[in-house]
Amino acid sequence: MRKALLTVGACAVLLPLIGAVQRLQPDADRVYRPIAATGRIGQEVRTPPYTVRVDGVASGRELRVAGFLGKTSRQAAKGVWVVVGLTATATQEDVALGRVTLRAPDGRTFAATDRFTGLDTVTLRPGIPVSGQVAFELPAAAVKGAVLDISRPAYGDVFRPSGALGPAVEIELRLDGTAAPTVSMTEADT
Amino acid sequence: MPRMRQRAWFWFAAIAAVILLPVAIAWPLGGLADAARAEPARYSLGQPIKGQRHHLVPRRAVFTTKDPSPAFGVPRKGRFVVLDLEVTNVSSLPSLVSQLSGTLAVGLDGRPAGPVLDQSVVRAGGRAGDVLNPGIPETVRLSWEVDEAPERMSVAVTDEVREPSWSLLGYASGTSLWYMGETPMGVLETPLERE
Repeated sequence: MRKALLTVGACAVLLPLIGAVQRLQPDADRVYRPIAATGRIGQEVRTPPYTVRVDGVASGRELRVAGFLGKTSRQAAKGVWVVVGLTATATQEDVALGRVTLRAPDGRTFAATDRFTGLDTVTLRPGIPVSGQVAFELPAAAVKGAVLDISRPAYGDVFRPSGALGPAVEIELRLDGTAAPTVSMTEADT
Repeated sequence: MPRMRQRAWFWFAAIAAVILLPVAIAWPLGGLADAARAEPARYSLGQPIKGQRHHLVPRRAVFTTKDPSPAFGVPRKGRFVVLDLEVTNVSSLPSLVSQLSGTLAVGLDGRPAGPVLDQSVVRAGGRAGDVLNPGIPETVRLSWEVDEAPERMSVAVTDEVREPSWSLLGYASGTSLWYMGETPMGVLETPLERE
């Protein structure tokens, strides 16, 4: 009788414990996420394919774009524009930054705008620093506390369907959610 | 020994009865027949179609002889069908117009529309694009080149769900991917405007 009670008691303790341990196990998205080197504004963040430094960040309700041959245009946003100034250097071979996104505290991820050519599409040459900007259009509520994520470095025509366990850069932008009337960027020359 | 055999038969019969009883009740009542497929909801222009990845509001469906997307500003001659949608990405990840159009099965007068001629985000004063960021409503334009002048358009919209993947190779197995549903969640039926 005592042995039976001990068995039932052990089961009553172990089963919830097993459930709790299974819940603590990270899911596959977390296990395979890119391995990020983190940094802050002004700091050079090193990864195997390139080093990246955020030189500055600004947000505004309208974007003034200086394009090719001195042509300028103004773009209103359905949300807010965030322009991130970057300096990037390839370390060993020609490479582009790849997937450049802003991650809001609520988990939503925003791709760099495809309206203009930003530094994200420029091919970086080894040892030669290149400065430029990348613009994002996102809802105003997502700006405060957003983090810059750079992953999936792009080597020529190599297609990478996933950035699993690849190199990445993660930089907190310290945005407070306020937006100036206008923010400016210069299109990258690819 | 005969008593044990009798008892075994009793238990066998009892278990068989428990298993077969629900079947015996359900079968005559039609419970084993295939469930009828739910018909996709019907929509018309202006009605929102809400999926788990995109919310769409079909705004305009038109037949035109004017090239909707002239390459390098030079219009092509031909007949075109144009569909304008207001699209909001309601997921937490960016998507592409090309991914959205993959969930649409377009028919013209009851026949498949064929490959899309052009698909892009339309932006006033800016370049056309492909990216749909979460929470930013965009106007998406899809166009097809046609041989005749169709009267009606139907667009079957299939929803997508984000689920853990499964791979025999094992690497990155379990990471989340978007999967299309098996049946459309809604069908837009509309006459084509003439332009």
